[in-house]
Amino acid sequence: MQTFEMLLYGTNDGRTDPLYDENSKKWIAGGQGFKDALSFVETVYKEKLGPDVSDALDPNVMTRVRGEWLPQGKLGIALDGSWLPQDWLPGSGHEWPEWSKKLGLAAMPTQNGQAPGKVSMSGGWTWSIPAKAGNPDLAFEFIKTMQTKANAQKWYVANSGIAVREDVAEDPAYVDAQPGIKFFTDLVATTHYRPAYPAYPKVSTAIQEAMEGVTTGDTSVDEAASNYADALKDATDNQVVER
Amino acid sequence: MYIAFTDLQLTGQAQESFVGFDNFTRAFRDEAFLNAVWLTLVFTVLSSLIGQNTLGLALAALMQRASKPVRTLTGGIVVTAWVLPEVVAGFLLYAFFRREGTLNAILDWLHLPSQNWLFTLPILAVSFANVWRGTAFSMLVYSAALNEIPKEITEAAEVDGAGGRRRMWHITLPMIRRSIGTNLMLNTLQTLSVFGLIWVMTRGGPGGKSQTLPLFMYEQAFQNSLIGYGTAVALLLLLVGSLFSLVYLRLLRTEV
Repeated sequence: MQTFEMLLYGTNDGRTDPLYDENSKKWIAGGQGFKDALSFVETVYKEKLGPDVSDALDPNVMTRVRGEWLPQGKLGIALDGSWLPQDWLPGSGHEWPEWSKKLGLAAMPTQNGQAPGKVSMSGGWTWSIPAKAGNPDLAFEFIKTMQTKANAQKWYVANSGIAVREDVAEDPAYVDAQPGIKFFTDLVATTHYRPAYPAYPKVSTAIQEAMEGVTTGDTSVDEAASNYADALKDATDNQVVER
Repeated sequence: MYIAFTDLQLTGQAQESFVGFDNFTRAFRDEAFLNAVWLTLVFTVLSSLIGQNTLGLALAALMQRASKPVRTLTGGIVVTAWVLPEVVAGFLLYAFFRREGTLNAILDWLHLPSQNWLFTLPILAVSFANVWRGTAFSMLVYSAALNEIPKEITEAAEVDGAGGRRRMWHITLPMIRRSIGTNLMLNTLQTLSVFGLIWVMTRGGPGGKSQTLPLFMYEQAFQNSLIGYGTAVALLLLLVGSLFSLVYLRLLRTEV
C-alpha cells in the first residue's frame, strides 16, 4: 500500500479511485496510470536508484529501514507512514529520540503535480458491535465513553495514532504530543482509502505479484500489467473494466 | 473435506455454496499452484530424501565407530538443531544465509564470491535449512537400527573378506531396510508440511521462488481469504503425501 498504491493514486485526478470504478461497480485494469506506476518501480530498481533488489524483497526489509538504514543515515528517502516513528519512541524496539531532528517529513507529490498536489493512502480501523452481541446497548455506551473528547485524546496520544475527532485534532495537547503529528493529521484531508470490497485481498495479492515481477525484472511493465488484468478477472468474477 | 468443495470465503459472504470440483480444476490451471507443487517436490527430494536421510545414515554409521566423547559431542550438536523451535531455527538460518550473514563471511574469508542466497537460490537455502534442522531425527532412528544388527553377522562377513563398502551394501542396508522405510515416510511427511521455517526465511519469495504447497495454501486461504480453495489445496497436499507413503509402504513390503 505504501509503495505501489501511493504511486498509482498519484497518477489519478485525486477524486476518483484508480482501482475501482464506483459507477459501473467494476475493477479497473490496464490503465495508463497503472503502467506508469509500474514503470516508476522498474526504473528505481533497473537504474539502481533504490536498495538492492535482493534487499528490497527480503521479508525483514522494513525492520532494517526503521532499525538500521534510517537511524544510521544510509537511506535518504523512505516512503512510509505516520506509524513509522512509533518504533523510535522511548521503550520501543529501536529507540531513536532524536529522529525528528534528523528526518524531515514531506508529502508524496502527485505524478505531474496535478491537484491536489500531494497523495496519501490511509488504512482504517473502527469500533464495531457484532450483530450477535449479548448486550449491544452497553457496548454502544462503552464506545461513546471511549470516544469523548478527553478519552479520545488520551488514546491517540498514547498510541501515537491520528485523531479522527476534529476537536482533538486541533487541541494543542494532541498536536504537541509528538513531532510530526500535525503533519500527518493534515494529510487526512486529501487521503485515499483502498476499495473495501470482498475481492480486495485478492486484488492486493495480484498487485504485489505485478510489482514483484517488475522489481526483479522477470516481467516487463506491459507483461505485468496484462498479468494483472488476468488475475483481476479471476479475482473478481470478471467484474473488470479495461481503461 | 466438505469445505474444499465450496466457495467459502472469509469476507463479504452471506452463505457459501457447493461448487463441485471447481476448486480442483482451478488449481490445475493455476500456474502458481503448479509452481508450488514442483517446488514442494524439489524441497522434499532435496532436503528429506537426499539430505536428512542420507546424512542421518552417514552420521549414525560414523558415530558407531567413533569414540565415546566424540559420539556424545556430535550427537549433542546435531540434536540441538532438532530441539530448537521451528521459528528460532528459521531465524538462525536466515541470519546464516542473508547477505551480511555468516555463510558469506566464511566465503569472503576463503576469497570465494558471496551472494544473497535467500534471493538467488531460495529453494536451495530453505532445503539446506530443513536438512540442518531435521537430520537429527534420521540419525537417531539409524543409530538405533544399526545397534540392532548382530555383531556376528558383520564379523562373519568381515572374515569372508567383505570390505567396508560391500558390508554396507549387502549386510547393513538390507538389515535396516524397515527402519529406512519408516524413517523416509516420517521424514517426507514432516518435510511436506514445513511452513514456519520457510515463512521466516523467505515468506515463499522472492516472486514465489520458494513457495511450497503449505505456503501457497496459506496465501490462498488467509491472505486472499479463499478458505474453500485453500482447503482444496490442503487436500491435494494430503494426496501428494499419500503417494509418497504408498511408495514407501511398497518398499517395506518387498522381501529381500
